[in-house]
Amino acid sequence: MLKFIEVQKSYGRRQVLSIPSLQLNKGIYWLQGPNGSGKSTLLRMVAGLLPFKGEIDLDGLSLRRNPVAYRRSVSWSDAEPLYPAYLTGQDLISFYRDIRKASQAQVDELMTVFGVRSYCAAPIGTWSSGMIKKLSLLLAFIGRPSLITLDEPLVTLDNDAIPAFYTLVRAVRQQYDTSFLISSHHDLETNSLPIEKKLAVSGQTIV
Amino acid sequence: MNSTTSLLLKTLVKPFYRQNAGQFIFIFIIFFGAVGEVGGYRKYTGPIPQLHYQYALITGMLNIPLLLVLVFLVWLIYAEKCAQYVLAALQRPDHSFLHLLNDLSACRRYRLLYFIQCMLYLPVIIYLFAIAGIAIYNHFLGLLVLICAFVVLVCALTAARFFYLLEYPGRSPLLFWPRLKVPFLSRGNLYWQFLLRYVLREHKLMMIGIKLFSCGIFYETIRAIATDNYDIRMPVLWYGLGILAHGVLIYRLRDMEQTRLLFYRGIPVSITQRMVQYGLFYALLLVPEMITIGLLSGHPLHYSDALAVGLCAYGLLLLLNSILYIAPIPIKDYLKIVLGIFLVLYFSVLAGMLLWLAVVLLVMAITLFRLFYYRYEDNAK
Repeated sequence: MLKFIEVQKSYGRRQVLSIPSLQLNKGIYWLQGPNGSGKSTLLRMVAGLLPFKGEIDLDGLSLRRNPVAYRRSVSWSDAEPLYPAYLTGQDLISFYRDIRKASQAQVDELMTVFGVRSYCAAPIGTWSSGMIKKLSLLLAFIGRPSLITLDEPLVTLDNDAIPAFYTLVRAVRQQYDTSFLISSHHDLETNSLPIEKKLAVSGQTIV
Repeated sequence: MNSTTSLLLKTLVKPFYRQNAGQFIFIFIIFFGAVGEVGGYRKYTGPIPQLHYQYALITGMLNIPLLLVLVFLVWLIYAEKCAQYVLAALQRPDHSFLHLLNDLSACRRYRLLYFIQCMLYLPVIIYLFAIAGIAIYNHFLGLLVLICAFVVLVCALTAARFFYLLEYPGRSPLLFWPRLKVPFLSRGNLYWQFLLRYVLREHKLMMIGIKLFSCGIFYETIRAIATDNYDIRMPVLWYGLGILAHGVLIYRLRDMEQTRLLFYRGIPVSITQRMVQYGLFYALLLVPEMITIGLLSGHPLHYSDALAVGLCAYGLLLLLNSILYIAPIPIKDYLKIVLGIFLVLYFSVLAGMLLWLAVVLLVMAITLFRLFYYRYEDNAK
């Protein structure tokens, strides 16, 4: 369960988000809202990448009081991921695998799902944006987080990758009871994904 | 000035100086803000201490062959930096229009590229005038010819490399720089390795320049200390400048981390383990300096001073890193902070409190890191 308690986020004097109280049970949530409404900010806050006022708890773990345990339970994929051009995909995959204590079998399976195996050993500087996006999604699935936050996961994905992505989300949700917080301007196929609820970021809060 | 020259200045020269403005300001402060003597050679007796210092530096260069070789090396590195910039620009898609230069005659094309290289090399050329004046005054005409020939040759060869790349787009046989392939660094998935790989790949020229400066000048000035008059204050100040020059490198590194290694903050790693990653990285970055200190330890550098200097260098780098977690700081302001730290170092050296300073630097670096690591945000408006 994800809990927001008096959460506020400002950039300088401009308040971007104010969530007095919100509780999200396990499930897949589709986060919607216009550009600049604060969706990416919210996902980054939940992933522990941005400081904010208030409390965010996941399954009783506070981001502020248990920063490592909380981060172990959450993973994140950016809308437009950037990685150092000199690293290879394999470098980052090994880095995540070791820190998240994932098995090589899981990594192999994810590499097959996202089809990154053939170019994984090449420096990321030589990849297209779609390839980098697949890597970013793959990294978010490594380990067994209880919540995966995905910012615009369908952007730049090719036609073959989108059904594979849906299948993976569904499988991970069913097998491991993992929750998802997904922001997307694209229409998510609600037939393919059992969406728990649509959340709208509007007027600096979530409705 | 014709339109082709003007366009080349706009597309190649102006962006180069804009991109490297921070480094130029820092080098300018180091070379024209600091004051000192080099080996006690002929002193300028005029009223402006900066001129005294530059005069001493140039006469030192003309009298000490090793110093001249060091200067040539630094100039070569700068030429390589210019070359890398232009060669990369010539291969960028948004600069593809520059291949129209191939419509010009070979002679005119080369002249243009030579001019562009001279413009990029302007800081060295301007300094060459100062060297020429002092060399003529002190009757070092042979050496002056050698120095001028070196500069002309470096510019000519660099322009030839630009010429070749324009002639054969896509090829890069004259980039000269072999990839630094260190087996345990070219792979590896530890965070400190990511950082080290970034420095070795993206800033190797800057790093080599800084290392040559800090190690070379410390080695030479310490060796010049007379045994009956043991005073390491000036060498340590020079060394401190070299260490603080890492500030530009650290700034670039943090910038890269914030854009391309942002995910690391969301990774389940404790703050202590994060600190250890930086601690390891900066310890490895200081290996050349530590070797230099090791070579000088015992004689002429006392062991206690060697320890203080080494710890101080490490504390300075960690502090320069931690400061960048407090808030986003523009490079100009960051360099002001670096200068402020140099002043603190200056007074600590004069007071003979280097070891205490090292302890304070380390404690401050750790405290700031722990306090601000998770509070930092780049997009604060």
